[in-house]
Amino acid sequence: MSERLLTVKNLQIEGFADDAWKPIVNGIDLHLDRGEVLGLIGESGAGKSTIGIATMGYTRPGCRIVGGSIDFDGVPILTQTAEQIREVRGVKISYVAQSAAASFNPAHKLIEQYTETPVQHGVLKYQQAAQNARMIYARLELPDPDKIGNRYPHQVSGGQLQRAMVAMAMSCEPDMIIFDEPTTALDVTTQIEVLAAIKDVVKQFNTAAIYITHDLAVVVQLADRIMVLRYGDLVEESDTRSMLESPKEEYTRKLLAVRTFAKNPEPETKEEHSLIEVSDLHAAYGGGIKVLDDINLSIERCRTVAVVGESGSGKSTLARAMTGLLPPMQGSIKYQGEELPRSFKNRTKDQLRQIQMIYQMPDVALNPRQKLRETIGRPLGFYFQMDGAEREQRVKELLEMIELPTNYIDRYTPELSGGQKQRVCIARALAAKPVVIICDEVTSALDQLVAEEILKLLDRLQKELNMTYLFITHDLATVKAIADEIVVMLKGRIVEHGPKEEVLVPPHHEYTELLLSSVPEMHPDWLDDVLASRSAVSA
Amino acid sequence: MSEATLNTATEAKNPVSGLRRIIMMIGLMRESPAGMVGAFLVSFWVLVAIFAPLISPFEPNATLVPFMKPGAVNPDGGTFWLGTDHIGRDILSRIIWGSRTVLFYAPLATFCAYVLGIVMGLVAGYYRGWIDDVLSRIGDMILSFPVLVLYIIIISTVGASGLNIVIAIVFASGPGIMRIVRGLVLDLRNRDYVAAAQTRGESAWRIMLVEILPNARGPLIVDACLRMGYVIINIGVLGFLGLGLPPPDPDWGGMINETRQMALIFPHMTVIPCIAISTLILGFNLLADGMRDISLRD
Amino acid sequence: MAILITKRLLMMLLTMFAVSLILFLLLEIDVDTIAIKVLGQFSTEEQRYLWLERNGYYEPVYKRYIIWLGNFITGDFGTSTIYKIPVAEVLWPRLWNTTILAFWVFVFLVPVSLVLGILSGMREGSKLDRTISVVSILTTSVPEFASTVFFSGLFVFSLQWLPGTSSMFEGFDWKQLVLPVLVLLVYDFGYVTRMTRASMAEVMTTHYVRTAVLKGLPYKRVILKHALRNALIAPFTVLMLQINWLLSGVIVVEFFYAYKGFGALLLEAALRQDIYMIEACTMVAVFVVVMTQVFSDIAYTLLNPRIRFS
Repeated sequence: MSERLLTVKNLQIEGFADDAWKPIVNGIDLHLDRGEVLGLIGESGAGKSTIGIATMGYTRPGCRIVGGSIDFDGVPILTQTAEQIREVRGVKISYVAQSAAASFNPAHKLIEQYTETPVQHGVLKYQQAAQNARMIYARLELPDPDKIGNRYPHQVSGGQLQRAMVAMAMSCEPDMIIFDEPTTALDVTTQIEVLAAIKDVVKQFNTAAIYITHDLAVVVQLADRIMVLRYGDLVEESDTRSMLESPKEEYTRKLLAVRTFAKNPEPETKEEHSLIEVSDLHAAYGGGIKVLDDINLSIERCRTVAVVGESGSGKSTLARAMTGLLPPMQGSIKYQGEELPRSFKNRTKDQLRQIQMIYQMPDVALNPRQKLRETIGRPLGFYFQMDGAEREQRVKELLEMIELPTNYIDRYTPELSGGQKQRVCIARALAAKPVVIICDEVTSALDQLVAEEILKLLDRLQKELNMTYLFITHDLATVKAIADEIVVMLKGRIVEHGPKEEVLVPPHHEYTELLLSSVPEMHPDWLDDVLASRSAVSA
Repeated sequence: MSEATLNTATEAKNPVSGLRRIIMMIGLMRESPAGMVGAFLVSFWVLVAIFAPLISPFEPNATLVPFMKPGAVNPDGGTFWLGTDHIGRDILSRIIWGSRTVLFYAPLATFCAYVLGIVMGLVAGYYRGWIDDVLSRIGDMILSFPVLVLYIIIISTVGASGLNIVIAIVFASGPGIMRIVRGLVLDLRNRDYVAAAQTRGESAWRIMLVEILPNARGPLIVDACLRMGYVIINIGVLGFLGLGLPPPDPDWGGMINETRQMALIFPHMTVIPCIAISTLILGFNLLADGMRDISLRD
Repeated sequence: MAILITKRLLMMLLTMFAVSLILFLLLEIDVDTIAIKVLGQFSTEEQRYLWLERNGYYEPVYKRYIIWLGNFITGDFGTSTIYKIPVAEVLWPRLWNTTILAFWVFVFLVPVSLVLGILSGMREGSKLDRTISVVSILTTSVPEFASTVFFSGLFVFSLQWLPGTSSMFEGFDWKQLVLPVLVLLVYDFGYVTRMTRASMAEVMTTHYVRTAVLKGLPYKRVILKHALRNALIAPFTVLMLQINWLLSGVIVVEFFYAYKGFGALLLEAALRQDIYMIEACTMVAVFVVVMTQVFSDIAYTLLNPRIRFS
């Protein structure tokens, strides 16, 4: 019945790293029928993007295809000349990249970039192509579809730009589209719009697609069949529903189980006053743009308060205001009943010591020119005047606490993996013997399985050391996993605040509802259900 | 240890010790042939400068036989391998001793300019605000002079001496270095490890010197090599224009200036110092190129 | 946009003002030295006193500065002590000669360095790229004074194609212009080429160029339409700022070839302590440089759509 469109056999790709060619894709077989959507899933380093883009006969600089064959609709991609491949790209196969902001040329208008493909390939005349562009912009529910094409990429928001990218990929009505993590950089409420757009056009034009992502819950919404990859090898392949119901491999089961970790909420302990009391907090950046608007918040000892919101909600600014990195314009932050000076510059050494912070990007949170001995040892020397063998001993103890081998003490931070770096950041915070740790998106730069380990570690440490956490995150799964209390922020304001049991159970605040319902769930009908219920509400 | 830790442990790259790092640097250098040639040229002239008294055949300022062609034999013994100049000084010896002059003043001036530029750049980039405005404005102003105009005005006003040349170079190059350092600092100061140090309560100077400066060293080393070449050019130009070190001590730029009128009949007098200075500058420029390749991989 | 231009022009005025102040402090504060420089070493105390008195040098410093600045702005630069005629009469023709020289340098510099830089950055690491890189390092490593010697040796003495001096006593002669232009060009093009290459190479690795390739566009179009438009922004500003460097090079070249230009004039004035000439030349040089900075800032804004439409 179905017609075979793409057949990849024994594809082998190498990448150049550390002065040698190393395999990154080890003999992958792959096939795709017309109109079928294949999900490629795996963590970073799985080779999924490399495979996807290789089907267009392209490799990133520093990569090379060393073996195998790719047959696309009777065309042997790997043996074609550059000129022959050019006729396939854009017309028969097109590509939607992760970051539309970087993938559109900043110097040209959207519609120029849309029409370029059909016009250059001689498929359509400019007028006709522009006409199509407006139609497809409308179909993808871009605002003002007749005029939006006249804008430059930087004048359009992220989610809209991503949809414009999808539109551009459709400009020649290709047989196949490669979607390379197209929603990863977006907020959940925007992600759902882009997902709906993709699902719609793929179905409408009966386009085959390879959908590449690290997020299983996203891919199950679109894919008919899923391939799980790891370190350039195939782990498991089956159709979406049977993979969800009966995964065969241990690794797939782990990926499916991700986001199921949840700690037991701590019982509320009423003390005379809260550990931290934030009142009437207002903050703005240099240009006078208000990012925090009247924030009131109290944090009890030994509890985890999760602040959740999308980009631009001011949640990270709240963290920066609490650490004194961004002195607020007005309002106060009381710590143990005592008012904290607004800027870190005026806080005492002991105040600084007791509130520690862990950052989003472990890559830039650690000085790459220092060994772990210095990175973790410095707070020990600085706050507790430890040195010599005593300090060395304590650093090793801290390494054990964060489950790293003690001989790592002589490593420089760039020699560690992302998860290990984040562990070191935790150790650096622990070295100060803090009472409060502010965790600013600490898992968002990590692969899901690694992120989960970090959350478990933080949970264990909290119990052992009786610490209080303020958890800043955009990820509701993280919130569900670790929070005792939830604060929902939108555009610099707190829209809902309460114990986890209350916030997560209906009735919700309108925005909380939107946020919660936008988080993809691990079953294939979730997207359709949500869209259906939303249109029912608005109708 | 949990399974997860073992997993993450295998992801990590192999550790690199300090010694291996240096060996790796040399190994990488070998991969950049340009860098190797540069390193060779620079070390050649450095060795010449160090061993000048041992390898120089004659006194550099001794007047022996004028207008000798290269390879001519001195009646009093010895050979003028590169000939003599118009007042009978052995050109080879003057080139050899001249390397001392340039390799003393150029690194000294570059180093001083760097000390000034780094301090100003760190302060401007780290504190920002009015202090940045003031320093940047002053820097912009100095940089709006064509470099040579600035040198000529300074030297012609205060007089030509080794010290004055160093001062002029520091004055003219400092703002350029400051601008580079400032740019790097403005980027690095937003790194979270700087925020971590700030909220730990570290002093501003420790943050600048321990947390920020070491991370700026890659581009700065490359720039220092290029700048060294440029300073050598400028010292040469000053000598060439007659504003260089006072005679009679050998100075390559000065040698070219003194003999260029006779270049028609005795080209060796002029061409040889030109070759000497060009190879030294080339050495530094190639070295910078090699360093850039390495620092990009770092 | 208008705000930006006004801001830049104000900044420029401020810089010029500061430079004038520095020059005044450096050269005009010590009145006795001025008198010696103007009247010569063999003038008597009395002559100097009378001259200083007559020319208002015993007025308070601030008043002198204001008058001095006023004269400057109105184009009255004083009288040259070398030429014994008003500075302006010497300065403007000399500046014109240098403009001719600089014009021809730019006529060749722009296409040569842009084309080489683009070819080299288009395929980073290719044989062509490496060749161009080595050549440009090589040529920037030979200072102008050395290349004047080499080129003169080759074209004047060995081949006897070109004259060895460019004083143009018998009217304009393009043959005399060749060597000065060549020397400046050879020294300068390497830098601009390398900047263009860096900019081009960076653009070639961007995602939008990859998008263009994956749209199946002809390679020529990828380069011309997508890469160049963005890659040329940086080299353009570099080219404008090149004027600063060129003014330095011009001094050496004009000195060597006895070309009657602005650079040679400045050097002569400095060496012979023609104080008013030094002041005028410096102010003109700084003015030219600051002006090009303003132009390059404005051009950068115009070329960059992100700034233009925000």
